[in-house]
Amino acid sequence: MKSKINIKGNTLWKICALVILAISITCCLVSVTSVVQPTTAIAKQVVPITLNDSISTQIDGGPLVANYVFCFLAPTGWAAAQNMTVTYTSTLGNGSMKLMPANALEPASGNTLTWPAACAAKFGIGKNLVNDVQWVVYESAQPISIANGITITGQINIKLTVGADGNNTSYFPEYVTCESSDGISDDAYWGNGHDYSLNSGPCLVQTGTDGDLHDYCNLQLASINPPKSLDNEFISLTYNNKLDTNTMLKGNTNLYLCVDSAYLSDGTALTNFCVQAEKTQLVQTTSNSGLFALTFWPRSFFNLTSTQTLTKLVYYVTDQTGTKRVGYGGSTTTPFTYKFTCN
Amino acid sequence: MKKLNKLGKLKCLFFVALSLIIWASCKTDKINPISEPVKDISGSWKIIKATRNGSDLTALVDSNIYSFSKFRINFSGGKYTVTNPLPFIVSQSGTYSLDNPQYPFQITFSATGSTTPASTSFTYPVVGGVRVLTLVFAPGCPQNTYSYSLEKVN
Repeated sequence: MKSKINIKGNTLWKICALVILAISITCCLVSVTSVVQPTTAIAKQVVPITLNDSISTQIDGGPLVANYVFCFLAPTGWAAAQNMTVTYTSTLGNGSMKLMPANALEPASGNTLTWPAACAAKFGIGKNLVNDVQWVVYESAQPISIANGITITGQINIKLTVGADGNNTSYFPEYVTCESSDGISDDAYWGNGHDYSLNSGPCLVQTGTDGDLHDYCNLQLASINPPKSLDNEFISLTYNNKLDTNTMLKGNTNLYLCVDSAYLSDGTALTNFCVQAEKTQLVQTTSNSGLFALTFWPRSFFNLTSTQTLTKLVYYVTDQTGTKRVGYGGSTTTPFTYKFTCN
Repeated sequence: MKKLNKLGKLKCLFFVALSLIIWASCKTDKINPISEPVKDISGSWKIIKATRNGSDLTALVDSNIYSFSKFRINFSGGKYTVTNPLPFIVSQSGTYSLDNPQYPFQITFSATGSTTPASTSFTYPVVGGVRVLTLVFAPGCPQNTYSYSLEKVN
């Protein structure tokens, strides 16, 4: 009886090569058993964080030589790449980790993305509410020969100096561990299907500066996106009416930006911009969302000349009459503030 | 015998004619090399899409004071003019140049009165049969990137 399967030799070789490749590239089941991370920190102090992990291996065709890789999500203002050291201890030896070279490509992306870009594409901004965080990626300073059928236990130890930008920042750290051969792949044919481990830390609240408060863990009554910008950009003010606890403006859908003062770089305060007009009206993003937003261009909004530069915005949100207003924390007397800065 | 000779001559003539036809048919055509046309961006352009850090802003900026639909940039004879300005690579009109007239990857704006030219990446794809000029830049903080896609005004 003739077989209906007709595979040409060339095709057969390709299929065999793919199968062999799929088996041989699958390496390690990485699991982080615990994250030891503080929930508070003081600016400029070194915060210790420890990840206890376990790596089980299944490697066909002998030992795999690869690097341990550690990806960390941190606030952009902390400049973590310049303010963090990473070391590891393991049953295969101890060592230090160095920043992944900027041009190194992540294999699970088909070698199309750098490691930070691949982490951002796959894991986004984690549980954070504001996109002012960035991935920094480290690899072991030396490659490690990983044998088949073993379990490696170890620790990743992080020393992070927080608050480099002089602000007070709260955010959710994210931790990813993997090895450099498979990267952040979901193609493992055993275990949980991942060749990496992703862990979220609790909200880390950093205080100790007289700078701005950047809280990316909790919903804010009013927020401006991007969280860091200059006056020659569009900024989007969002007011969350559902968080108006003193009910001053609750249920009101005619809301306006009331600029108490806008400060120039020479210290001059611009006033008389608390008006209820089209250019200050906040529009509800979707029906019943309770989120009211206004996107505007500060240089045009304040009619700045080419030599004037804004440094700070002090504002309230008001109703249509301008008599009811809400500021920071729901206060009617303490305004919201926003500084024009990139740090 | 004579008949055979005559037939042979005819055959010979036929094969000679056939060979000539085949030889003529195999003549190599001259192919003129096609040169890449110079990318001409002359004309007035309007914004059809704008993003900030990947998020669409197009519908969010549309007021009587300023809007993406009112912004125009006109390229002509190496000069550009901006009307109804918005946050952009440059804030004044001036001159512009492409890094390569046939294969441009970068456009440089030199605003009048400014000593520092501003360069940005330049793509010029055909989308839906229409040329779209896409410019990516940071008008404020370097971490905040804007992308404007522009289409020629008819």
